[in-house]
Amino acid sequence: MTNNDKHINDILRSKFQDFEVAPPPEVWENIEKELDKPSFFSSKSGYVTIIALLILIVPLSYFGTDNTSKHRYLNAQVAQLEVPRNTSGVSAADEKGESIEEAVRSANSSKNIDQVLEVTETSKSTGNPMADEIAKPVDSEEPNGQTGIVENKVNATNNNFIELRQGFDISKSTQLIPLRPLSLSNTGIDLSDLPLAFDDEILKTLSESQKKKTFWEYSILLSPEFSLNDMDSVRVLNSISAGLEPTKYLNKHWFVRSGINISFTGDKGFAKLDYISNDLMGTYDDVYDVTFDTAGGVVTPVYHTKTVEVWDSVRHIKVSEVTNRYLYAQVPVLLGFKSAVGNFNIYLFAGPAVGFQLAKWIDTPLSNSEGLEIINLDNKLPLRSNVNFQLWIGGGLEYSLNKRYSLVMEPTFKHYFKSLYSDPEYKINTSGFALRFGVNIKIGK
Amino acid sequence: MKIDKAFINKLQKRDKKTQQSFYDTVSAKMYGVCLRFANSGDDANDILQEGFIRVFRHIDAYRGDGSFEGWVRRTIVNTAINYYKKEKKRGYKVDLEYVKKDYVTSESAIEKLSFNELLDIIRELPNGYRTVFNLNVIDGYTHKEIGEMLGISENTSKSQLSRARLAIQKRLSEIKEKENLD
Repeated sequence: MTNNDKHINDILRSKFQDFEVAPPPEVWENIEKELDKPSFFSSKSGYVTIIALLILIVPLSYFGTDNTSKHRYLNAQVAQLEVPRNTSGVSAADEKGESIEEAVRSANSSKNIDQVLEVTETSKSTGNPMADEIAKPVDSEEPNGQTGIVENKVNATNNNFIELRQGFDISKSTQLIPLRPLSLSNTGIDLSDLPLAFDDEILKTLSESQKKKTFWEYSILLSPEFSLNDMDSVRVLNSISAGLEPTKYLNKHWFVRSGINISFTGDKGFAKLDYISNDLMGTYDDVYDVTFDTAGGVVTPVYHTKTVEVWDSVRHIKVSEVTNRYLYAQVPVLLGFKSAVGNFNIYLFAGPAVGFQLAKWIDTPLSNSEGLEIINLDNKLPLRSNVNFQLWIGGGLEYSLNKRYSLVMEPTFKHYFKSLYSDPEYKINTSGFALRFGVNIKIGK
Repeated sequence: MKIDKAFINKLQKRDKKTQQSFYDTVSAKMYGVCLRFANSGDDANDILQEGFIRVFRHIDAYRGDGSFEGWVRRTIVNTAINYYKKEKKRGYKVDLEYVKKDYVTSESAIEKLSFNELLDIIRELPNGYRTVFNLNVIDGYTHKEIGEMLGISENTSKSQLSRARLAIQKRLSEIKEKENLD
């Protein structure tokens, strides 16, 4: 920088340093309006909104399930089986001394009950709680590997007949699934007490079938997380995490997920260092001897010099950038709801998470302090707490690659309930946006 | 008005009267900072508004070491830098004419200019030049600090300042030539 530049700088600095202009009055009005608006998480209303959303999801999911079931069972087979009775209502089986099953098979010998007899839409509720219980959809895997929902339906058409229906979820398949041959044993119905008095054995069978609806899924997720907050002297750095989160599906829609995520994060800030070092101030030529030469009658002095270094203790004030890095284990507990849309599954989830500090790497402003006298070190970068608590709210988009594997992308908002820092002077609640992506692996469906 | 610990405590408790009183006291000075960094008066209003909202919302982050006004000024400058960064994302043009020729400017030429004339010259600079010029020449930050604040290298900061100087000198020469013609 030339002297001219320096003078110009000085003039400009002096002109602008205390430059004051009254701002337009509407600026303060706008500031007041903005300050009156409570930030989402600084008020109770933010939390109330989240709870309200969760409350809304529950009934919506109920109706959503109900609606889909109305359209799902388009393909069904119906077998009408005669239950032989005499005119007095006594079972024909009792009269002949044979089992009811034998009686039913004998009475329906003209019909091949192992074949599809009729294709129709399933009937609605029978109005009989027991029959409706049996009619609940049951997860099943078809012989050709296609997964479908089997619906068992039992109606009493009159005293002498029962109607057995078996339907499949064709919405899951692009082609019609061949129906499994209908037989009495497949229905799980004990015919010993026809027509509609089912015993505990049936309910046990059904209950076990129902259990098949719950299954596990493992998510392997990688996620960059972007900080949404800035502070005066601290920059919260973006972080990266990798995690394994097992998910337990409570039914077709609802799931609970937990697991562990290892997150590598950090902060950037400044440290002011006040120190004294022994610095070289410069050199000079010291005359240690003078001799005289005589040439042509003229005496000329010769100065013999040596270079002398001048060292002095100099006080420095240095502002250095420091970066602290941390490794956290985050354990979320999330409740979610999933729904299928075309080839994709979409889902929402929310829940608390706790983070435990596993390791930390604290930066020092001076890598080599040998020979220095440190007067004061003022590190402006606060240390993070060992434990933090978060609220996660997110959504997901899942694309099935095959029956077992699917790709997922989950934009997730994370809000830290307490300040990240142990220093009470840093009370700011921070938030982050994570874009989680990875693979879901279904186990045991 | 005395800005002492009790006053700052009131600000931290979000006392509205104290907030307004503080704004009335320092807003003119901070608006001067905003005008230097912004392209236009409207942008300066936005920076001032956003800056004071950050000050009032994040006032708990002020730890009491150093002057409070300095902390506010730094927050306003940071807000202005964020504004610069947003502009940078959108892309801005650098007029190469600025760097083609050397200009020599006399000190008296600058001294003769009014505040508004100088402000207009600074505002005409491309965003990057203007921000580096403001931070270095007026606010006294080093190139290393500017590099860290703006996410650019120290050398980029130096070259942007050099180009900013040439641009200002060019503009001053043009003004001088015009005056001579008149």
